[in-house]
Amino acid sequence: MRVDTTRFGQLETLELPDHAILTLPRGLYGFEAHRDFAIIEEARYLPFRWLQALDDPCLRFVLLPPALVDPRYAPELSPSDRALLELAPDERYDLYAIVVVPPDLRAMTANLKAPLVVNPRRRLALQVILSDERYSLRHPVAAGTVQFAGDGRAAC
Amino acid sequence: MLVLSRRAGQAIQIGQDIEVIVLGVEGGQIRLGVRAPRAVTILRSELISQVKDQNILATNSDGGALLRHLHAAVRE
Repeated sequence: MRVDTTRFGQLETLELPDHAILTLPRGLYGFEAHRDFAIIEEARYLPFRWLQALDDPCLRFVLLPPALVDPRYAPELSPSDRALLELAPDERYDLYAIVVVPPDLRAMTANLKAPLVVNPRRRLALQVILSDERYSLRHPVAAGTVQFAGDGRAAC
Repeated sequence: MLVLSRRAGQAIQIGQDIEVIVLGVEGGQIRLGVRAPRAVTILRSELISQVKDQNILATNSDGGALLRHLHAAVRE
């Protein structure tokens, strides 16, 4: 499927496989009208991925695996979240932290309080707000595994 | 909006499964206890607006800066 994105500022069109396309039945907080998204994943840019709205090239979010930011990250999903994601008991799911990228990457933060949870089998995703007080909306990324050199360059 | 007056120790029932109990009133603060099934998500309302604000900041992320940094990392 062809998907338009401004993930790097300029408009580009990518050809993505069907399994990259996701439905968010509740949208994202603040963007409830958008339900259809894709996850853009390219080996050369990992661990970064993007969540791209299919109906708006400018609506895109940078994602990082939360375990890179906090190795002890282990959020608990509620039964209602699991039901919305159509997860079978003990079924595997993917977790992504939505990232804020400022001009200086050393100040990058990841939202560990409200991660994106994906059921890859059903291609359903949900932004879940955790009641766990340990997790922050603005967790510094540079404190985890992703390191930035003195001039702000990323090195993972 | 339904408005009720309750004293410490009194409660209200919402539907069959949810009970909200006033545990105490101190200064300007009320301590509430909520009894609800595990499937019900209970959040402080202001947290939802904080998540919205954070999502708006996230979608304004500096894509150009990230690209330059990623390419610098790939070249190394």
